[in-house]
Amino acid sequence: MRKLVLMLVIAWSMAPITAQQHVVRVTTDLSALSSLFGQTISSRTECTVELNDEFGFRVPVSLFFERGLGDTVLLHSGLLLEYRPFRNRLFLTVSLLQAGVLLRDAYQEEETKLHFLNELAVGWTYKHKSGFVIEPQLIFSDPNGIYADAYQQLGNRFSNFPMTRGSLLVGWSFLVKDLKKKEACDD
Amino acid sequence: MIRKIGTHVLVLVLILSLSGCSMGWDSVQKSKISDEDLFPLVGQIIEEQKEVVWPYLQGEVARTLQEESLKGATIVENTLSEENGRSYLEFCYAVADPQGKEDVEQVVAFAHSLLDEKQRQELDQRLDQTRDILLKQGSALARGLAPSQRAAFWKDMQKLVTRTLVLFTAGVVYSCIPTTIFWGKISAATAIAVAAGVVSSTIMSIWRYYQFGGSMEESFDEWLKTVTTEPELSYALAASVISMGNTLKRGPVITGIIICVFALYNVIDMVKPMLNKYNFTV
Repeated sequence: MRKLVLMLVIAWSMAPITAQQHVVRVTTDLSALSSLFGQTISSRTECTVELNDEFGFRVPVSLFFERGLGDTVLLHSGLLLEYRPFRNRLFLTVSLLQAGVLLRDAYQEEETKLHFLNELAVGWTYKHKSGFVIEPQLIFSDPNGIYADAYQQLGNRFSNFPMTRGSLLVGWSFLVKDLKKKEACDD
Repeated sequence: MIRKIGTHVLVLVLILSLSGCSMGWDSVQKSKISDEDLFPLVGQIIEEQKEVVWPYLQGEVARTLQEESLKGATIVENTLSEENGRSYLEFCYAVADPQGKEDVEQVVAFAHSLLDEKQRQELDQRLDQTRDILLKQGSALARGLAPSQRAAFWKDMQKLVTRTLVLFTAGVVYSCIPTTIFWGKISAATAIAVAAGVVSSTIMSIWRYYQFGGSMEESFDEWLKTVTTEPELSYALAASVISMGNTLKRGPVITGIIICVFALYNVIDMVKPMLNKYNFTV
């Protein structure tokens, strides 16, 4: 409930900004490639909408697949707020709403399929003129320890489920109005 | 103006988030057991203990085991398909302690995943009490020994305490199995058998040490009698003595241990329905 109210306050306060939204970034986590050689395979893709040079929203979608401790599969997504306090390449992201669903559970626990999660990340965005984007970031899971039980349960289900991890997002950014123009040209 | 307010709200949220940040360094206590370690070992233990454990299982489980000739690996497979099945297998593995770490905390961590919050608190509290009483008694006894024997006795005593606490934990987990769990009962009962066997062998080693030493067997015997009849002393040593006696003849009697646990911990009410259902008798 608290999160929902907070989200509404933020959305309301940024209403004027949303009229100016135009940049979208789609990135995927390259550091997840190393997980192919471990017991826990993970992947992460993020879609970011830049509202202006200070704020943005991110929607990450992650999938964890365990090979060594049963065959647990976790799908994890949410809505993150991206904030650039100095209006430069440095950014912080905080979870507005984030949850994980166990699609398959080694422990067969019926009551704990849905877990609410929380992340805080600090990173840096490098953008090339061509639209190519690289974003190294450091992600802290559950920085306040509010969801300790959920993270403990997930940690027990995966060989590798670090609470602090590095990530290297690579992808492309494009202007939304460019797309509109393109659609207009196609028509 | 609105944007400024929004910025300040956000900055405030970030500060609050960061101010309580523990940076995620809290480690998960329960160690992880891979499939390739877990399944073969638990299957093997179930197979090894089946002659000891199965005659004492009651109800539907006993009937199924009588009707079908099941192997340890099959039971492991069936247990995995149940709710929390893997947790029962992991608990059995932790009690068997293949690495020889003798870490009660690990066993308790695995037990926690099978108990509800109230049962966890009860278990933790009783474990602390039992440990304190046993060590206090052991310390008093050690002081009465010849200086040359104290170190060896204390070492044995600590082992006994550790193993007894593991046995106690196994007893609690077994007695708290929900009635809906079928295959998990076998793993939990096997864990008790393994723990009871280890405890009884420790008691026997202490016993033999003082018997052959020729000086302390009498006092040790008296001590065992005293601590097992003191009402405030927890189930632990009583269960050890019961299991020792039975191991010498026909193996640990699970039902006896369970009754002992609950009689001494005044939680008999909690398991009365279960006791009735399975017709436990000492």
